[in-house]
Amino acid sequence: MVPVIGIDFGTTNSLCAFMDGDRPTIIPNGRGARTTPSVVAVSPRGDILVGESARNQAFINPGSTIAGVKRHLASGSLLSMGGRTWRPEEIASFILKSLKADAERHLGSEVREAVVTAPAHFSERERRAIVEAGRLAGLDVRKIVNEPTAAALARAWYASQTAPRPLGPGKGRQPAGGPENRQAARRAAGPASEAKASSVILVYDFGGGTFDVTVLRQGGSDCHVLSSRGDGRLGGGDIDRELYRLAARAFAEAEGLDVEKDRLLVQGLIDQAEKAKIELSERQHADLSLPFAMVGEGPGARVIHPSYDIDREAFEALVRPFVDRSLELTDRALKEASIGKGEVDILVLSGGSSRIPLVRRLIEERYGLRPAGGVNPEEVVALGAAVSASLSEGSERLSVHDVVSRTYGVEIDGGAFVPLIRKNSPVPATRSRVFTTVEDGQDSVEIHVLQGESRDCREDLSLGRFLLAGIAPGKAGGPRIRVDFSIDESDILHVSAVDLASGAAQAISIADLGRGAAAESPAELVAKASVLASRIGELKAGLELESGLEAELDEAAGRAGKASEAMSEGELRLLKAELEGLVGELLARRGEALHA
Amino acid sequence: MSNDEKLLAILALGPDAEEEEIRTAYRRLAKRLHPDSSRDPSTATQFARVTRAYKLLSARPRTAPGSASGPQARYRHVLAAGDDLFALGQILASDPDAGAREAAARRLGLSGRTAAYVFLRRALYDPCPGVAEEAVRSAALLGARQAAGEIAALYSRSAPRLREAILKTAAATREPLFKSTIAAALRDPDKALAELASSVGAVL
Repeated sequence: MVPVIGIDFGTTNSLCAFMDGDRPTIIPNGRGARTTPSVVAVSPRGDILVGESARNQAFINPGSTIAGVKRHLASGSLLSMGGRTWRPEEIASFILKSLKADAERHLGSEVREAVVTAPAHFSERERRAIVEAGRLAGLDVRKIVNEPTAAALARAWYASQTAPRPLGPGKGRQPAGGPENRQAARRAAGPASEAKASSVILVYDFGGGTFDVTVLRQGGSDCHVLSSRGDGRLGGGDIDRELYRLAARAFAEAEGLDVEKDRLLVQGLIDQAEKAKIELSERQHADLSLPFAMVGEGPGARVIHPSYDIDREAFEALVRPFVDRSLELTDRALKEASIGKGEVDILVLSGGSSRIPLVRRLIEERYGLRPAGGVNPEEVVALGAAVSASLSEGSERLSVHDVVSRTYGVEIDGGAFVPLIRKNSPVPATRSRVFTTVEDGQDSVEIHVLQGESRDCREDLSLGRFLLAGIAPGKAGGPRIRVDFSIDESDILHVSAVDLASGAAQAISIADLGRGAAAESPAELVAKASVLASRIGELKAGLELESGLEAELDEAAGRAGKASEAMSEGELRLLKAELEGLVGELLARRGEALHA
Repeated sequence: MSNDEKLLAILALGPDAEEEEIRTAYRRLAKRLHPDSSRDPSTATQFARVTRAYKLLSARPRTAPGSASGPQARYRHVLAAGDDLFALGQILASDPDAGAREAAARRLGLSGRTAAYVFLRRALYDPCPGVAEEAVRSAALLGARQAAGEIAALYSRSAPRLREAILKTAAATREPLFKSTIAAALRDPDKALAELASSVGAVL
């Protein structure tokens, strides 16, 4: 069987992994290294260089080198390298091609398909750019997985193994944290086959360019995303720049050297800053130096060797605001998931910046958590991508479910918004609530369905209104009207209202829940079509339908069965919308049949 | 309401419907209501009414074909959208001209696809009552049961003119989807409308 590889395409480094039997394993590159710098260059002879060799000559040849192409994906801007311009997708494809070649050499077989990870905040266009880069590299990108989800998948995979050395979270718990905690630690640290109770996983992903935090719940082989938060402008690179600024200021004051004037010096000093940052994770001191820098011009020019020494304390003062911001986002993600600080069972650190000792210390102080061992933070995403790749090959051992991306509810008297299904609830989500009337003898109520986070419904988005008539007359506050909300896998919100006294019922189905039709890739549209088609199959069972509608259902289901990514996007969207319309009709007919 | 207007209303069409639209509407309704096609025996009477209305309309003297003032001639981009539900939905959602939105709502009804309701429902919230009225007729033409609650809500928030138009469409088409609207209209403070509702309720 041709293996599907998992690729962590990073801003600074990229990795590639595959499932070695049952175990996700990193594939080393041609130099034997486990990570490949995401740097592409053209050599003076016109060869394309990728990785370490490209980075090594970046210093002497910055005009022919491109680093951090991930930031430019789908920007529409062209990048210049070696005297010509390139699309970002082309540059990215060189990196993917190099990883593909490494994988083929390591596995001894051809590789055609891959699962690639992307930051959770990546737009659809950026995701499509990755697919395009894969195509250029001769890789069929089966799936784009969010990086935090991949990290959690890797951890979940390890936890589900009855490995001789269980990678349990037990060590991460403070043993003094109370009897429940100890119990939880024991439960989770035992052989994974016994750890059936669900556990909450916190993925703290502090990478080179971005920060993402995700809360997941894993029970058995199921993995639900509870909430996710991120900041696209919070990453290790920002720490490097802060450190660079500090050093540059020091050089300007001490030696009168203006680093900014020379692109080479800027690049050199930023590289030094990054090295110093990494150094400070292990040691108490590090220095940044720029040997043989020139100051002044003409005959007054002189060569200096400035250096700047920074200790861990000064570094931590510099990093503190970044870490505080990340913890603030973590608090918010936990709050959204309704998870208390003490309820997280497993902490997964991902991204190189999460190695900073201050990060680990503050997390431990705040949440009483230590990272689960056994997985390297730089590698966990790639390993998760490999796990995801094996899932897409049909292994059913783990699955990740979607969550509702917005809050849905109804308007009540006085214009207040009452949420029923909250953001980040796992799909399928259902919720009922009983409402009543505000006037004596009121025989109908209007149900106004909204989406939004504000308590004031004027600030929320109106999705539709429907009227429930035929309420058994009574005093104000007497009638009991049950409103049911449900969102199923087909992503349709179905709201129904029933007067519990008279049995009068009314319903509405709303498709296109503003996840943004534009945000769906062709692959997602195809998948959605098949979900909708199977939903239609379920719903029409037992209903008496006129043959015209039946023919329409069959015809649409037939087209859904033949849907493929090769169809134009317009066709796929229309197909999806039509299927949604039909599901809405069937839901309405079922409701009628139920209350007839 | 003239005699022709009454006949057109039975086909869920407005007073300015053109020959081609009448044919299409009849074809769609016949397919849905014909006793051989429908599993529901009650549609047989509805089918007979529709057929009679269509025959009478076809027998009347023809107006000049393709009269320049017809809505189809005025809204070429709506016509150009053909049966493309997406394009029609787009016009409904964004065209600044209420006439174009009305025409798009009508084309969605004439598409004969129940699924078209996902695009049509936006028109029920249109600020212009004419567009909402056209959308109600189109929902009736499609026989979209999912429209029931939303049309009832439209009825309860609308001015008397649109309320009357909705009840007339209900009376002419006798579509079951109007049951909820009738239930709400029975308590209409406007006595004439409440009476109309109870007479429609009796035949539904």
